[in-house]
Amino acid sequence: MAQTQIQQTTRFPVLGWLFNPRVLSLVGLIVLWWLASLTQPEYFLPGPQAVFRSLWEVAVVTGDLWTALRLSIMSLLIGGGLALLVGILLGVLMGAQRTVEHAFDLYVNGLYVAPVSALTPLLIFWFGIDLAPRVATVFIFSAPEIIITCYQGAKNTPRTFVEVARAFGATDREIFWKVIIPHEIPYIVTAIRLGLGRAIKGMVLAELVVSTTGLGELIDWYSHNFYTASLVAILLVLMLIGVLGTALVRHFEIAVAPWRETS
Amino acid sequence: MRVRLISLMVVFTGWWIASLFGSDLTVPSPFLVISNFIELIVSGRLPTALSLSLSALAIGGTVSVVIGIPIGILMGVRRSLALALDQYFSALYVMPMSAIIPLMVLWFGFDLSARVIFIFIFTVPQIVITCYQGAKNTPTTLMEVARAFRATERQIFWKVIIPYEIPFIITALRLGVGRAVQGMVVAELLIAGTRGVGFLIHVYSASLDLGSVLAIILFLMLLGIVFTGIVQWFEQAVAPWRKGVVGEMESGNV
Repeated sequence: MAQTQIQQTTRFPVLGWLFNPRVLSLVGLIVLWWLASLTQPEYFLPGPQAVFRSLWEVAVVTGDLWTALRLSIMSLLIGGGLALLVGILLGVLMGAQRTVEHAFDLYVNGLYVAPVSALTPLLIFWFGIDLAPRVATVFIFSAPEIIITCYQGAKNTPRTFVEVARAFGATDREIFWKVIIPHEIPYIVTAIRLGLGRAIKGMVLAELVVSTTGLGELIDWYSHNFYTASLVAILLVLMLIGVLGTALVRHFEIAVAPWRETS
Repeated sequence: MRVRLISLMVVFTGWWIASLFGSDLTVPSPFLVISNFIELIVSGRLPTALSLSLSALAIGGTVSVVIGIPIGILMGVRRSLALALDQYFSALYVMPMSAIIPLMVLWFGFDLSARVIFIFIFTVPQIVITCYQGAKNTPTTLMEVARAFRATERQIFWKVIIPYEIPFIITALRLGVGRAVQGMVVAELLIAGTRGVGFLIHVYSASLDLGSVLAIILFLMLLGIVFTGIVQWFEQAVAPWRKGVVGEMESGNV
């Protein structure tokens, strides 16, 4: 693949860029979308031009998008921050101490595979319908992911490192701070990336199920009034947030631990 | 093992003691939840609702497996196809799916098809990405040896790539089952108008019967754990060397 790309770029730089399968498929998809939208009324299937017009409107003309984002991001920051704090502490302790591991692993693994969204109705009972249940949803969504990643990191510290440290007379405390924790750091960054993705999902779900605020309110309002173009515009924004957010942390992740880059 | 048992007992008694201080509206006692659960089963409400929800899960899950596995493998084999498609599956994978529910309702209504399609869209990225990773990462040494012994492209595909891919397919099934159950629950919570499990939760929440709500929620979560557990057991039987890898980290998701 590297070879073909070099050939293309050296001979026809612009053409090579244009006939990239990625660009071709994106252009094809937009054209297909546009053609399909011609056969349907706009409230049912808005075309790309209608969606971009709506995007321009919510982002620039009215600015509703930014107000909504500001409201949404509160729960994301508080819930995600709490999850990170609890997740790193518990994850590292579980990886380093067998008793802690056995005391918690049942629940953490359970929450990780269970459909946690089922818990949102319960959170309404406990926390009402204000900011608190949304923070709790974000927390419950992202904490298991963070705990498990940090736990894996601490648990998979190479035995040889620990043994060498012990052979040179390191105390348990020194092994924890000078061997386990440095090995753990890239895992923490991975945990942030995976946790952020889950936290955004929890945030949106909470805004739709628990209380309609922020982006959830916009989605609700647009869909109930058949402003489908605006609805799709918000969906695109959400997709973009997901992709950019993960890419950003991924970048940071590679900078912190380049040897863990897999693909 | 002993620690796990003690911790289960601590949680259970802690819950019970907390229920003595709170009312049934805040913390229903574990015994109430269990008796409500038995009542839900005996009265036939939960089985009826569950059969509706699970049929959407079965159809949506099966379709995403049947479509997702071939797409994933083809993407792993054909570089241009991977370049053309992986951006969409990655974007769908990181996107908060619950937000597309209004669109599903607009296009497909409130009935079974909307939920089936939602579960499909929710599950298929996971399956495609995992199968893609497997096919893409087939060790080149294996392929080169096969080629050196004059294997045709077709033989390399069926005798090298596919056998290497099988454990990834099973991992994809395990992760996919988990996603599908999550998708089912989200669809149940957000698509009103069907008489599935989500409807039951709504009804009991509205009548402030927290014991029954909790019974259904715990049951749904247990369902996700049990389904995943079954596939995981199968996975370890088929590919024991992949033991110990958890969740998304091994599939190298974006």
